[in-house]
Amino acid sequence: MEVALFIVFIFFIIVFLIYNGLIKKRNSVKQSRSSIDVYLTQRFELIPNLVECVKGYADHEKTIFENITKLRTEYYQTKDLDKASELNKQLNNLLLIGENYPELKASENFLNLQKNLTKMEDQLQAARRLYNMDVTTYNTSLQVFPKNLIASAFRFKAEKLFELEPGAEKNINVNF
Amino acid sequence: MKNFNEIYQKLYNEYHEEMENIHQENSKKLKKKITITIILLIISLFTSMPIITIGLTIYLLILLITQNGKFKAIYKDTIISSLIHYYDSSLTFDKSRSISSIVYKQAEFERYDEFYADDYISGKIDGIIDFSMGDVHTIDVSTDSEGHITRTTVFQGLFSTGNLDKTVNGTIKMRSDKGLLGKFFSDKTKMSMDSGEFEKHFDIYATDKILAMRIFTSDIMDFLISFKTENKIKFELTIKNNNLFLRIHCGNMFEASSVKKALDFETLHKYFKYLDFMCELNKKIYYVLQEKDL
Repeated sequence: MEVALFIVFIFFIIVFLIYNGLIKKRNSVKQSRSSIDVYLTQRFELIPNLVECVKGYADHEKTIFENITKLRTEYYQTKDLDKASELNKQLNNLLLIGENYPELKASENFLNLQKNLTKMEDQLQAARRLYNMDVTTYNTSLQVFPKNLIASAFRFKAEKLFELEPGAEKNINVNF
Repeated sequence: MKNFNEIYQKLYNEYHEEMENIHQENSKKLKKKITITIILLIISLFTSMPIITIGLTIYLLILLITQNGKFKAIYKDTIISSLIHYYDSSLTFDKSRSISSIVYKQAEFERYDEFYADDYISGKIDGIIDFSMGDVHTIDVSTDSEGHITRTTVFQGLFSTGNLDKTVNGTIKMRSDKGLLGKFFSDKTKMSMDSGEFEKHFDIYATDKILAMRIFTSDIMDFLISFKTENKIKFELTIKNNNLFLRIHCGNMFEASSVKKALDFETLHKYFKYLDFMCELNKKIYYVLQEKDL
């Protein structure tokens, strides 16, 4: 009887430690995700200004303006990282438009927006690396034995990695 | 000129003959002194004059310990000074100056009780980065219950400080990997990096993890891993305010060996490698930060 109680006690200790470890890892993921959200929001808040700026020189690029505005709204509603990735891609395309319009490329407003976006891109990439690392560590914990048993019992769910194309800003020369 | 073989050839052509002559002359003088002292010591032993015997023994010991004192000073003034100047003409070597303990303390390495430093290299790397480095030796002094004092070396090696020109918020520390012990007893500032190889060798502690990620680019991580695996030597760094502090656990540096030749290739190559690593790392981190809008 005593031996059985001791085994049960040890079992609960192990479950307790694994559960707490998983909670800590999940919280790390949440924390790094919130950093990503902050940088994405800062970056996407510049979109209306950028659209207005580009419109003044390239009004006929309507499809990209509409697409980017739609994606931005969808991202703010869902906060989905796939949407963020797509929106970021469109934002980079919008910046590349500047290459085709020398007057736009030279405008002070456009250059300022580019500079701010470059800074945010760098922070975002660093936050993304941190997030992906936390997600990888967390997801690995959900798959290895015996943590996988505890994880499925308490319904821990795997998190998605965040893929982000490198920014287009770095390919553009910014001269002040 | 930064290629070691070229620098070595230049040093060899300029100083080989001179240093060998000094070395031989010193050896001759030393042998003469030792022979005379031993003869006098034997005479004193036979004539039963204990005070003279003790005096001569002490003199003999001093001779043996300080045998190369003059040679060592010339070695530093010529070979080491030239090696550093040929590596980067803006760097200067001064054996009479040393790193201040106040500067060393800023790097927040471990606790110590005694601080010793000698040799000082300073200048501007690439004409921009204010840089200084030198030999540092720190000692921990402990007393047991019986009053016995034990002195243990905490660190002995090269320490450098470089100005980054940009102020970094908080502190970023890179320490040697502590393995499982580090995992269980790590503080909240410990972070994981996205390079398995880097994680094997180092632990990063940062108050601003995103900034640490921005500084430790894959290029910088590869550079650190490569130096570590090639040299199998312990080194650590701290980035604080606008400074990069770096130290290598390499023992006493820039000293002439009493057993090896003055222009021993391996010894000078080692000095060159460590100097080059410290300067290159300062440059890499400086330029990475210049690209960033903090």
